[in-house]
Amino acid sequence: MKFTDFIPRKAIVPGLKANNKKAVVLELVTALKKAMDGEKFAVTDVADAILERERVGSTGLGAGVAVPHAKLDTVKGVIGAFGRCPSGVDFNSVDGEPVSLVFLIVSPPQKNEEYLQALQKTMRAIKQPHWCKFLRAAKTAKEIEDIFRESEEVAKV
Amino acid sequence: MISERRVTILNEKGLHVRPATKFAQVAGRFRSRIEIVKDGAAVNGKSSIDLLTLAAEPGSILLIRAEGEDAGPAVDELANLVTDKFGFRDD
Repeated sequence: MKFTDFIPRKAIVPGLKANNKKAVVLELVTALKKAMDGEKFAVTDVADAILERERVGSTGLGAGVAVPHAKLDTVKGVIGAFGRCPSGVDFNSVDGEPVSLVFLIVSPPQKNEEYLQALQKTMRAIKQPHWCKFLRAAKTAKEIEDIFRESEEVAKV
Repeated sequence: MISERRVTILNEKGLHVRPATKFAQVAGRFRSRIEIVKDGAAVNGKSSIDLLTLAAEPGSILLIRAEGEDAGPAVDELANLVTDKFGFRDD
């Protein structure tokens, strides 16, 4: 599983306008919908499912990273969007810190193995030294995608 | 003091975000150093980010290893947590 397998370039939002969790989720799901021509999901259904999931426990895992997600049978495969909140957004994270890097993942229930691999991919990358720093410093969606691509080589282990 | 135990992931969706977060939270209550080993790779049991790098599917076998003064109780409680499907009834 590579980043570019589940996060299309058009679903990379370098500067989210949203300034709260709910709006961040909505903005990213909207970007994801625009990026995925073949997917028929409704933006509100996906956003609602993700926010419902947040209610049982925040996906803000610390280090300024959150992985809001939901399982829906209206999507065909594991798909995702990535967005940055330049000034940080309160995500009720485990460490109480604001979130600036958001990896949103939507998957169909029957593709659990691939979903776990997408999470694995993301977590391995954020653990690489300086990876998050580079991601925060990138200027464009293209630069962010390049960082995603470069991480494929390092994280093959 | 070192204590360790092998456990199997029983819940249907494996070690995803919610169980990983719960595990790290419980592990964090102990003073011992806690490692989780899967297929020879060891990660920090007190970090949900680390635990999620394992991509542990249902049926995966994990070794819980604790080192420190409360290693025994830590392994007991963490092994029970895994066996109890992390206390979630909907997974």
